[in-house]
Amino acid sequence: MRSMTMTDRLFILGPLEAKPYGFPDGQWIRTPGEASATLAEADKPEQPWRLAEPTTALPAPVLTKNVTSHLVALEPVAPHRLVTLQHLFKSVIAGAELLELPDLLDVAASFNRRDLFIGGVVDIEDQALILYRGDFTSLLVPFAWFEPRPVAGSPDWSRFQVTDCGQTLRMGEYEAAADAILYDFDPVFRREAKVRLLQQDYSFGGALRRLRLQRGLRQSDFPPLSVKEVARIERGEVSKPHRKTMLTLANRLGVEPNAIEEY
Amino acid sequence: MPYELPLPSWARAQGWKVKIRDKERLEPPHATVLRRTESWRWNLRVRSFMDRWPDPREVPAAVLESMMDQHETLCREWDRMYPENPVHAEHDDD
Repeated sequence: MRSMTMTDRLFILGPLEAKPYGFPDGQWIRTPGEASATLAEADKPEQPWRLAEPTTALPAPVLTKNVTSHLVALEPVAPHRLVTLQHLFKSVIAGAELLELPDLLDVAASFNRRDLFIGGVVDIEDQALILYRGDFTSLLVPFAWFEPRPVAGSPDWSRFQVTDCGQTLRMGEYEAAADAILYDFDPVFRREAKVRLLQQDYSFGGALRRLRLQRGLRQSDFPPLSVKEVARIERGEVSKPHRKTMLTLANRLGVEPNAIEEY
Repeated sequence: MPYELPLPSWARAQGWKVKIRDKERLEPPHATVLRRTESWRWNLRVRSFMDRWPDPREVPAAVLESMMDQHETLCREWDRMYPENPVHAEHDDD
């Protein structure tokens, strides 16, 4: 049996067919009256999520923007209704490619839900991927980050899906690890990941090497610094690199000088 | 295309997977053990788990054994996918 531990309230707008998943700790809303009663009551920890049909009216007066309620729509929502829902819920996830419902609820109940993705929207026009995390916050990742790889080639955005319970993004033959995305786009995740490392090199040199490789750069890519200078810094043979050296490194890596050691 | 290590059928049935995906954090070279919402990174250079949490003891011995048995295959697959950062690279590229 699933055990939901999230404190925020989750509402799912979905088809009747979603019900056969049969989560014992959820509540099924069928009528506006039931919706009204459910939304009005104090949150019950044993019933942290509710499922309503797409056509069920969610009575506006009951909810306020301050309520920590989130809505995930499994089916498309009409644009006019979307505006209303965005006023009622803290976050609304609609029109996204989502995890299967059982996996989505598992992620939402997981204590590491912030490190997992529940879905995403591919924005071809703006060449960006909007990803939704298990805590219902979003993250924007440019297509350019998913560079072509030797084996997989380029991502096929028409086949985007979230898989492995939110730990992997799949774009056709191309798979990307969720933690690789978070490491590059979320400074909090990066700091926490560093704390968790068991056998990593905590030195400035180690951080520089990790960031350089993450950016796909070689030691020769930091002119006017020589390869030997960069190698010495990475090996920890330079206790405190000169300020000018730090600026050269940081500019090439695209970060602030004092951010290098975060990696 | 990601690489997925073949595992005993019971381990797969329980949701265990070992993968190298096309876009991973590069350093150090690693394979990732996945099960539902949890994962464990396995350092291919030193053959040990990289993170203290989740507890690596949760990974079944048979999964660990498969990784040890297929270590060369995992290294070869990593090198094929990440030729810019091979498992057995020297620490410096000068």
